[in-house]
Amino acid sequence: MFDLPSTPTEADGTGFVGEAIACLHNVSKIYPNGCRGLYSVNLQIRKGDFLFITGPSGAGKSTLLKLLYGAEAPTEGHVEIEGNLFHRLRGRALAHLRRRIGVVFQDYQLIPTKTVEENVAVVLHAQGASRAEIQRRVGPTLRMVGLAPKAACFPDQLSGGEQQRVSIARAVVHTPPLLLADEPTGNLDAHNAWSVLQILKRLHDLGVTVIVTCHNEQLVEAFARRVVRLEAGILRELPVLT
Amino acid sequence: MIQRVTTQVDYLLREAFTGLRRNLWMIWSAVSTLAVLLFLLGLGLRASWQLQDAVSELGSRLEISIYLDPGVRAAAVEPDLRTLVGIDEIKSVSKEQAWAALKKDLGVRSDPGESLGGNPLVDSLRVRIAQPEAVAPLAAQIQQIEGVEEVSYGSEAAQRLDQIQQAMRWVGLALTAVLGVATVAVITSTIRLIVQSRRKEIEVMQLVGATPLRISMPFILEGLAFGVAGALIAWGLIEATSRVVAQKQLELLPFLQWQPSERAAFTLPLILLGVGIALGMLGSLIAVRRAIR
Ligand SMILES: Nc1ncnc2c1ncn2[C@@H]1O[C@H](COP(=O)(O)OP(=O)(O)OP(=O)(O)O)[C@@H](O)[C@H]1O
Ligand SMILES: [Mg+2]
Repeated sequence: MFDLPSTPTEADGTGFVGEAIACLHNVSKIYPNGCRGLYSVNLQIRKGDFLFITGPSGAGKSTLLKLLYGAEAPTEGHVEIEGNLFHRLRGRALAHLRRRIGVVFQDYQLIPTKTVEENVAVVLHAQGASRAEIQRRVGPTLRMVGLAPKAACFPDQLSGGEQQRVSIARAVVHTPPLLLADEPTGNLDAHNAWSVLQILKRLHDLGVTVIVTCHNEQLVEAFARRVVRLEAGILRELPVLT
Repeated sequence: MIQRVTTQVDYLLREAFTGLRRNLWMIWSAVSTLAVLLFLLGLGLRASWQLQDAVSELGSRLEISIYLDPGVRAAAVEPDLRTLVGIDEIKSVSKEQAWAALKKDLGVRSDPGESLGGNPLVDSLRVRIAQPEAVAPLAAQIQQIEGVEEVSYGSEAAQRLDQIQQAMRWVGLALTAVLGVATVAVITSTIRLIVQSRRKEIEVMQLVGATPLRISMPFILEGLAFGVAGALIAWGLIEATSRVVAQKQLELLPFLQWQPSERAAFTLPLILLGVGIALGMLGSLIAVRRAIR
């Protein structure tokens, strides 16, 4: 089912080279209330990477992801996705770029008035998929996260972990080339956390670039990938674990 | 491709109508405000068209009516009229004939003339003119003739009616504009309420790549539905009103005729629908534009 969309177009002379799919150039984020989210962060994510972002609570992990999917704008510096500068995009163009990114939100962001199935289908509706296409994709995706039996439930009828898995299903149902997952294991027990990471790994094997935030250092170590660490808004690259 | 379009339409309609099912009271206020506006607009248009018809009918009458001084007979004035150039035909109506006709019109059996002290009318003449431009100058000339009390001709009345109509048009436009702004405001706040109740969904839709058009489409359809509903209600009210008016008129003023013109039957509903849809969609566009950057 994971027939990936065609490879993205190459950089269009914006001075960005190689296989980078996402770049942060000297990005600082200060929220309007004066809170500092990120401080002068430089990060390059290559196509096919599997990147962990760790760090204590409040270090700026969610802020970094929000900048990557364009929910927040940087105060300084700029964010580049597939060669597009986010802050230059508006309307349709912005919408089309977002279709190439799947997001697992830390707070799930499920629509309370829609069932599990509908919540997942929203992404496809938003992108104008046909009914046949929606049927073809939603079922297998729910099976993948183990929620097929709960397809007709509403979010408030699910446990926290189940809601989290709905949110994962929604993030991947349109097979985006870039997946951003904010604490996808945050509410899960060790076993389920591990199986979620397995799902992410499978997507990664299919060619999806995955960026995951996770404060569980043991899990990260056990998984052995490229890891960056955020502390009070400052980014530090950790040696690649093997 | 066709299937693709139908599923999209299906989805949009479902979204639009779940939005409508909640917030019923607000929706009622929006639709009824719009209906009242369209109702007034429709009645105004109808009255204005009726006047216009009357004006053009009067204006096209190539006839001058001449009323003589009491006691002067038509035959005495006729030779003077014959000397004027541009007159096609002269018809005289004696006061006895006029009196008989009037009594017949009023359906009077006994002779009310007795209580009025005899026939109160005067002799009159009707003159048919060949050229419309000649009507006014001829009327002036006829006024000079000895024994002529009063001269009246259609285009004079037409001019007065025309002035009334002009005034009505401006008042109507001003009223429509003021009510239109109020209507758009009510529709805007109604739709904004619906948008508010679905903020979460809109936010998620935006984050997962829905275009602004797709997000705003259900709300624009809702505005359109308001417009159609308002227009239908207004049209129903106008039809009912004009029935009642026509009925009352038959009872009270049987000699005046109220003829619904073709314009009233076909153009009016189209205008109401057009204005309703335009205002409804304008209202929702304003509401959505603020919610969706
Ligand atoms: N919308 C906002 N307005 C103001 N300040 C904010 C906002 N969002 C986050 N912050 C602040 O920015 C800092 C970083 O927050 P962020 O959510 O990125 O942390 P995090 O690393 O994701 O933490 P956690 O592990 O608890 O999710 C925090 O100090 C937080 O208070
Ligand atoms: Mg966070």
